[in-house]
Amino acid sequence: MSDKQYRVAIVGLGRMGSTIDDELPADSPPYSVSAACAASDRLQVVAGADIDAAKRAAYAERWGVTALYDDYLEMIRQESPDLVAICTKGVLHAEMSVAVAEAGVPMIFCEKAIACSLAEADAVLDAVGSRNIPYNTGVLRRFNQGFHQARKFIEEGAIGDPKCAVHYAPTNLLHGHIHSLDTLSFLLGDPRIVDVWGELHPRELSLADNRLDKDPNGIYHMNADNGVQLYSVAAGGWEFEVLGTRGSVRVLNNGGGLHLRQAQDERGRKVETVGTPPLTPHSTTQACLEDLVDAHEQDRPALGNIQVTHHITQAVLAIAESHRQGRRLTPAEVDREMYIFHV
Amino acid sequence: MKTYRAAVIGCSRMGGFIDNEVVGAPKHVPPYSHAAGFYACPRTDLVACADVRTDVMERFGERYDIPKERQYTDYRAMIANENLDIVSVATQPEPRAEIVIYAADHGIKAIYAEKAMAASLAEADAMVEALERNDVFFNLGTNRRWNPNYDAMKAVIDSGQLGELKSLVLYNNGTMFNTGSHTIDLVMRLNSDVPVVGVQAYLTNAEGMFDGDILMDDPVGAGTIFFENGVTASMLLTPRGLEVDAIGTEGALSAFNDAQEWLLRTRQISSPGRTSLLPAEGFQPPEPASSTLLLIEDLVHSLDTGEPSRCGPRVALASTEVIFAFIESHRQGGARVELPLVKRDLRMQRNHTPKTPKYTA
Repeated sequence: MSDKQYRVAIVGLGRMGSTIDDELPADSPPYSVSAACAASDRLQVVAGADIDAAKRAAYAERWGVTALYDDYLEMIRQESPDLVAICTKGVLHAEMSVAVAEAGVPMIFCEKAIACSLAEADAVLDAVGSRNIPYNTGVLRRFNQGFHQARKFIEEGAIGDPKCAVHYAPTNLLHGHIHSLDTLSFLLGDPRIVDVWGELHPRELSLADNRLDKDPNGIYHMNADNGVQLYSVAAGGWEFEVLGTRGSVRVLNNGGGLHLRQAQDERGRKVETVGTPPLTPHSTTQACLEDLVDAHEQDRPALGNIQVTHHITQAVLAIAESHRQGRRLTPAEVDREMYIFHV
Repeated sequence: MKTYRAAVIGCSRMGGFIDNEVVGAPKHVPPYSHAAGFYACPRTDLVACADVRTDVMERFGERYDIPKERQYTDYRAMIANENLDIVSVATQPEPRAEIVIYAADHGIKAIYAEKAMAASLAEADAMVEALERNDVFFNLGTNRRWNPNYDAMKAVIDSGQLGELKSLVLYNNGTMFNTGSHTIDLVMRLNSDVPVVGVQAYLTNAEGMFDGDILMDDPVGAGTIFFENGVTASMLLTPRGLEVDAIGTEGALSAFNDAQEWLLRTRQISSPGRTSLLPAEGFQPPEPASSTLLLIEDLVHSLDTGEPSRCGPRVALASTEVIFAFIESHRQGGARVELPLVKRDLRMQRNHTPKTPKYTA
């Protein structure tokens, strides 16, 4: 790790870019990109862009940054940032990711989801992947130490061979299940999804026009190439569980705690709760951005790299494709032009 | 008080000897087998038995004091000769419908049928018709329906402590007829037997298992059950044993190790501005008891009073229909299928080799 401080520019000076911490309890770790950079010795916000002059003015007042633009590409040309954080509305993520990559920015953070269609995701994969740009998205449980601890338990064999992974919460596709599937994928070491069954709610939703103008709720069941089954349960409060041959680990209360159960008998059927170390609150946004820096310095893929992100985006879109076709299918069967709006 | 004359058809494992497999297991409170239940119940006299295997029946007779002359290789003769009130049908599922219908049509007043109910939906339909036409009380051996621990779980759900019930998660659905019959019945019971409107499922091992509409083995299945009241039951396949979560808008209750351990959590303020599901007081599991004995006492109560039993013909048919809906969904490529099913003639028909029960503990 070098002592270098990297120059960050933010596109979109609204909630995730600047103000979301105002919505959280006072003792919360930094959550917005600006707050996370302020907490990091390795990152400094040097510029911002927003088409809304009022947001630019508010940002300047709040963060003391004066290099503010209404055109994000002009900002990149003028400021040559090391890292660009795209914190705009969802419909702009793909177009901006491509443009920022083509502009030669070395590191990119993009709010999730990266695309509204597989065609858009393909374009991001091509632009970012062909340039080996460290790229992370705002699926921040991937950067949460509670989930890292759970993944470590799994990797070390604490629950035996993982067989099943479950997400608990009712949620929509590109705003919600992009998180749920990314998190399950992370816990399992990012296997490939080989087939998908999904259903959208309400069930009457039609994709006859190949388009949904509202991000729909949905449920899924998937199989991964490591033999693990992934399920969503449309109830509960954002918990995640991986169940193995010798126990299970559940991340409670959206990362607030762990419930580790381990087999006490030879057959692995009698499982009991085992104590785990307490978790320390920390900034997942800061961890996400600093992972980009580490990936850049170490010439390695970022933890949530574009290849993984594209695959998960495709699998989430496959939930809608499965709903449309009324059957289980492979991610490759997704209509690349099918468009689902998301915020 | 009157005692009822009972007999067991199918004298092997569940009929008479399964207690030998679970000695000391905390989740299996004896008596467990049908015969052990009748033997223990002060309101029933186990007076006869029937099985096509005379060697098994002889050991059964020794254990339960059934004299040779009351051991029958033809259950029809037993029903004709023994003036029975209650008959247990503890056979494999394939012959069950024929036996139950015969018993209902020949004067038996209460039937305890081992699960799964039948090998086809058409046969289950015929069982319901015969049972209702003859006013016969019926319980299916889905024992968790009488397990006091699950009664207590249902009471928590019904109390509203979890808020509005949204989902049931069952962690080991297993083989559809042998294990799924239990698990499906359990989630239906926990959701107060609200009708099921749809099922989406898949079978993990069904390749080569179908010969037209004949199912040649008991398949392993996972899927989702959609209830009329909006509750869903996720029937998962995981390495766990039988465990179940009930998740509501305000909390969750988890039954671990087949209701031997519990975790009740309710939505609470965990720190200023945050709510979390945190462990809550208030769940006291009852003293364990024999679900087999409770099932038999339930039938006795029906015979005494004329009141319905807990798992009457249509309750049993409803969970049986879900088993076949899992299979039908799989056959339709994982499509969600609506209930009631139109297709009812698919039949499980195994080349089953009878096993020798465990005669001693």
